[in-house]
Amino acid sequence: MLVLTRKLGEDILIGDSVSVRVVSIENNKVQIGIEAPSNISIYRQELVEKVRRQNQSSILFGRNDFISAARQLKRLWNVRY
Amino acid sequence: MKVVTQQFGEHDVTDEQIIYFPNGIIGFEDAKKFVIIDDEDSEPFRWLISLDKKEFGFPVLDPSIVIDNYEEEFPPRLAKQLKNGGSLLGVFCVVTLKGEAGNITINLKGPIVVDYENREGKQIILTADELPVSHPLN
Repeated sequence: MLVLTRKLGEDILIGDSVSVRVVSIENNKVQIGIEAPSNISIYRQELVEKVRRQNQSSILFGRNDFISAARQLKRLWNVRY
Repeated sequence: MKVVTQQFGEHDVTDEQIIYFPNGIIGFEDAKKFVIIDDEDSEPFRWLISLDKKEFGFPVLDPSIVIDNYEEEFPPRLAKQLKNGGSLLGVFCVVTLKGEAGNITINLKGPIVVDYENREGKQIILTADELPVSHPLN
């Protein structure tokens, strides 16, 4: 991993189109500003992990499980509405 | 083209039905080609089936069933597209079952957006804190 030291307000450029700035430093929190083209996704890493786990658990179940789940939901929604 | 999946048997799929995911689905980055299959028995779920080597499918649901004004949570450009005649865009959320308890949950945090015009899809992550990865359906 490339490690660079930056002061408050200083930037790092990545390629031609991405810049990363240290916006504020407070106790053990650093605020980072990122400018990038809209086709580049920028996410908090732990959120990506959560979605990844959710996707992976979703395919563990089969069609039959979802047939019963669908029945249950339809019953529930009929009662509710 | 015939697509045979373990769970859904044989399906005739035309090239027009194939949706290309340049970045795959989060956690399945190698899976690039998908089709959406309707399966009467498991309605209201639909299935996003991978056509790549390992054939598997994600059960998905139209989020408007559970959330109003969902498009407002999208990045500005997508939100605008979804609001004005968003018929060329489809939004799906992945559904998961949770173990023995039979909990059914929907991921409102990471919707899958399909652009039917150029047949491209992408799973995005919405930043709003209140959108859960596991929103209970039952």
